[in-house]
Amino acid sequence: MNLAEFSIEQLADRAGQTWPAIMEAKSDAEQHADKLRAIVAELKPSPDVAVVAFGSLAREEWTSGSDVDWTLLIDGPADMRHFDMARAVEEALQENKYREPGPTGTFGDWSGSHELVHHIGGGEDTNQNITRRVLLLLESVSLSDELPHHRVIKAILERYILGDPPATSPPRLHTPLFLLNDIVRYWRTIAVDYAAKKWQRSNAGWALRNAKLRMSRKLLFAKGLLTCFLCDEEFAGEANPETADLDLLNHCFDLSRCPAIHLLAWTVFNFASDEVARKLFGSYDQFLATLNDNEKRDHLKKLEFGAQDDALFNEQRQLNRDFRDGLDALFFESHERLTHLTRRYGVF
Amino acid sequence: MRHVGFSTGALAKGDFRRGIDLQRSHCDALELSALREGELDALIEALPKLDLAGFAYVSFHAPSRLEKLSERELVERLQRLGEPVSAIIVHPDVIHDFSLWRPLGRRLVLENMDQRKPIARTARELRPYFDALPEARFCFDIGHARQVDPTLGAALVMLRAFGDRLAEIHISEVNAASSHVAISRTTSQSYRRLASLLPDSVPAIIESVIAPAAIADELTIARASLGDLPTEAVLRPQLLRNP
Repeated sequence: MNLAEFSIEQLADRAGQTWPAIMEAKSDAEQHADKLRAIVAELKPSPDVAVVAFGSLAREEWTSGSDVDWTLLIDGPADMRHFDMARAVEEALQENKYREPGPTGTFGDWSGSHELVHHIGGGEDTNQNITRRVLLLLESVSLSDELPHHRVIKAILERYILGDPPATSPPRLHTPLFLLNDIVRYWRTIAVDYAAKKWQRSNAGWALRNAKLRMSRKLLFAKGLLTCFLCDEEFAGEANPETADLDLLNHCFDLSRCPAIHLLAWTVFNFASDEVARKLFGSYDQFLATLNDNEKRDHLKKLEFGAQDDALFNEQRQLNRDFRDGLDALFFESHERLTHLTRRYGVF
Repeated sequence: MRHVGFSTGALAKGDFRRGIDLQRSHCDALELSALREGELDALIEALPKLDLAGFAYVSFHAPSRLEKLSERELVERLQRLGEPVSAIIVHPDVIHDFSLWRPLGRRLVLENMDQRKPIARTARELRPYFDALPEARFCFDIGHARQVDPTLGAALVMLRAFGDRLAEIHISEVNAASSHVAISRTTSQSYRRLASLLPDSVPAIIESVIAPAAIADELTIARASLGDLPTEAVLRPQLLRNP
């Protein structure tokens, strides 16, 4: 089944499920993306920039509490007018009543392509830089001309893939290990930052962040693993040796452009059982339903740390476990090659 | 051996006679440039009398923007182009009424665009033009493709999609301002990634805007970029020409 032709509804039909919250979140995300594109088009961005959105909009998981994490991505010569454009985007989103990004400063401003491409690893690769870079790869969508956005993603992938070719293997499609290591590093960074925020903010909002860490952030990590593993020639097919590097780059790019939930569903559809599908997408559907319910969302947000008897928290904790078990079953029990790659590259 | 030459516009702007003479002793391919609308009629009128005997391949670049002429008037003029012009290079953004262009058949050659206009820059954006003009062939502008995607991944997709229509290659370096400039070593090395997809039966036209004194070096680096010469030609072109 071709990834571009696949829809989550096909998996839902096969598993005898409907997953209404997932479908609604996808539809709402598409509507908001269209609206935001119209807003940004009014600003007439120059050809060397792209207005890029991250988060729930890019994941196609828009719920009532969603904000718009955005950046003005600059890929060209420095120009003082870029600052004006970033402010114009900010004002336009405010005028249209969109929630502003969180307070970390990672989003809601401009970012340049050079740091994203050249500062991978090493002392200059800050927490903010790796966050922007990995989310650009795994969880971003263009709100303006997609060309500068895609150009930067490809330049980053070029660093990972063509900048770090295998030392001995013949040219073929393979798991890009440099990229995989960075994705694993980012997932662990998110987990550590969760603990840091919990400490710094005296547990405020911890339960909601905990649920997001164990569901949407974990889904993103799963997408990152799949983006790498599905580049293996068993899944991606054989390449022309003369263009194998570029074929790998293009294949990895195509996978990166697929929303996480869509890529996970496609993988489950092709390689896993209906039971795995029900476990993963049933739990995720209920998670999104909770996020889309203002009362429940606020309840989680305000929950005191240590409220072990809270019914909603315990309900969410069970969803977290179901989702984790579904991922375990997919990566370790569903497909021989996927299990091999997970063991070979995902653990040691 | 691939036929390689320059666009007359790259060497001498609107002075096509000078653009031909400057490359006569170096090249066996040529593109007559009427990139600006005002250059079109004079070039068409002069064409039958031009001495093009030394050029094994001759193409014609149609205006990239219409201000006075209508689309129909442009096509009528292009239909009058006779021998030795075997390909008419057209920017897809001048095409609005496909039915006007179909009579040009295989002589119509569509070029992929640079980043400035949101059309015909990638395989996906070119597809509707080739669907509507099934006989049209493809002019692969490698400079435009690299400006759009420096990894050349998008170029690979384009060549896979339209390689069977490939009629001409445009080569130069396209800078951030979308100007065609001399090919740098860095760019030349990246172009070589695509060499296996650019058969030497396909002629190449250099669009780098350079001084006449730089013609020989630019020819060498263009040939090396397309895989027609070894990499050393990029690093030390003068050594290769005068071993």
